Amino acid sequence: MDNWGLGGYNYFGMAVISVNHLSKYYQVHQKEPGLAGSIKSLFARKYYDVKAVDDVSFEIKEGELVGFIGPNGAGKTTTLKTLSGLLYPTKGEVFVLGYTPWKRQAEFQKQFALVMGQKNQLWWDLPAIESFILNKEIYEVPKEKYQTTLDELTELLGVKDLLKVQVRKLSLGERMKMELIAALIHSPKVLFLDEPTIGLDVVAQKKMRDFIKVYNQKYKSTVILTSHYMDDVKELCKRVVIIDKGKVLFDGLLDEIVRKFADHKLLSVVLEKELTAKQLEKLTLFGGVKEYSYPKLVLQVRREDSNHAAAKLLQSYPVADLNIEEAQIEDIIREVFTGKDVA
Amino acid sequence: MWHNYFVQKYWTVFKTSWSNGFIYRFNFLLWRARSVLVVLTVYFLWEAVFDSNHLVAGYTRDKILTYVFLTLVLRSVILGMRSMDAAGEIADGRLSNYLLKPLNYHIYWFVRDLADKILNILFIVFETIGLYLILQPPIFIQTNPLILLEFGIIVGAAICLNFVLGNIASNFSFWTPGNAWGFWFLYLVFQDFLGGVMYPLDIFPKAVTKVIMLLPFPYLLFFPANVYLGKVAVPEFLSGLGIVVCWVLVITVLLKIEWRLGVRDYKAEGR
Repeated sequence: MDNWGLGGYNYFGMAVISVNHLSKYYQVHQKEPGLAGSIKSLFARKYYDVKAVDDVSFEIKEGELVGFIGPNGAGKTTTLKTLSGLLYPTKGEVFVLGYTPWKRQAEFQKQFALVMGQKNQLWWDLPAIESFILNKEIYEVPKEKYQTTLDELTELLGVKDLLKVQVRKLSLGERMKMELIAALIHSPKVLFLDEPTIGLDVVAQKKMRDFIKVYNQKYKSTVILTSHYMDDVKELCKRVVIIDKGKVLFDGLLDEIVRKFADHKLLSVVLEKELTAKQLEKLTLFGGVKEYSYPKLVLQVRREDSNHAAAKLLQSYPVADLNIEEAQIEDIIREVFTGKDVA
Repeated sequence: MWHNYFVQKYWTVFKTSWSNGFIYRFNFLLWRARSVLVVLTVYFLWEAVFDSNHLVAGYTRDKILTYVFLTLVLRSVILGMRSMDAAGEIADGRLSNYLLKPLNYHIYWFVRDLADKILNILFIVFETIGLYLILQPPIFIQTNPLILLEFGIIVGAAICLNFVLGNIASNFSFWTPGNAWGFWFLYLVFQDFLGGVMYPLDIFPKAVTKVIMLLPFPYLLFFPANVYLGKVAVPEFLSGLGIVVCWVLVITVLLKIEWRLGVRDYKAEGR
């Protein structure tokens, strides 16, 4: 495996999750459009392989909170489902807490949880507390342990007075909190969160994030999080794994993405005077103009040229203020995914 | 030991299933009302057909009315099952919720089926007493305790048989997520034509009946009904029970194999 992304990463503790050359292919049958195509496909089906996960390897140590990022269909959810034992891999080896997940041993299942933002496990017509009690029995949680865990979780999430409300009557945000409690009632050591903040408003997203952070720190649980929202990842995860088309593009510290992939910096300038057409034209010597709306000017310059360009700019332009900034992580990741050469 | 995690686990499933059922008490009451109406309709239909006491396929008016009544009741006790939903859960990926947990999916649904049946049986008992008092139909009431015991045993066995057969059908969802109902309909056809739902099976020629009696389907309704009517002698009962037990064991093994293969191919797709 190419582990160039791991440079300088300081592992601690034991490997709780280890994934070696994991691949998951799906056979999909191709159907030509229209009725004729449907009839044809009844007799002769053409199959082709979709490589949902393609030779993925990584290790995660105890207590880590790792973010998986990637566009839709990148293979994040497939990876989590394999780690949870829902899917059998086509190739490769996976150990979670020393168990092979798809054997689905009870001792393993009692120690992890998978939360999917778009799915629910709560009984829709009953108050959430009923689902919690059922999970308590399913996971064989002793009574006292259950009570303290429930008290702590409801306290942390602020949903004490909603326990006896029918789930169907809760808002999406409230329901997601209940889903989390249901998933955590057996105090899992390993937690897989698949888009836990999807569809939530900004305030609810923030609360969910805070909770995940506290939970990870307080219970030393190992967490893998996937999210479309960079804010989730930025705020929660030190380490990220970038996945696209089933392959790992990057595995390392979040800060390193910038150094690794961003070959440019941004000069953010506040001007004193509006620029003449000639001045504007000359700006291209420094690099690309990313944004210009007086008084704000943003230039994209090569990393190694940034100091020089800044000095030049201060000399020959009416600059009131100037900052040298790193590129936005969202922008970098978008560039990575849109096929810019990442090597 | 009573305080056993296994018992505790599925007992809670049972209770939760009941609580959930009570949420829909209006639905449930209408469902029961429908059942009563069906009984009344069929009853008056057959009463009109038999205006005299002549025999049809060896059945007198009283016996056929009893058979019709009985199959209606047995149909809801034995054949009615909630675990048909399993087909949908497998198809739309809700199965994932169960696969993640230390829980046996088939036992889970068996317990939920039982919870449902017990609730239905309670109502059926009251309804039957009520209907009996109002209509005072010429229906044969079995009072022999040995036969009633046999009847109880065979109904229990039939419930198990129906459960494993139905779940074989549901599990086809693993491979044809859109079409699992197809297999259910096929099973319902077998129930109707070989299970004695539409008519008593002994209206067929003797040789045909003999072959049919080796299949599992007659033991769903036809055989239990005959046990109740006292038409089955003890040795016949025992051999019938033996056939049911064998079928349940064989189909359980097939169900396990099917499940193991199915879970391997399961795609845990989204909704």
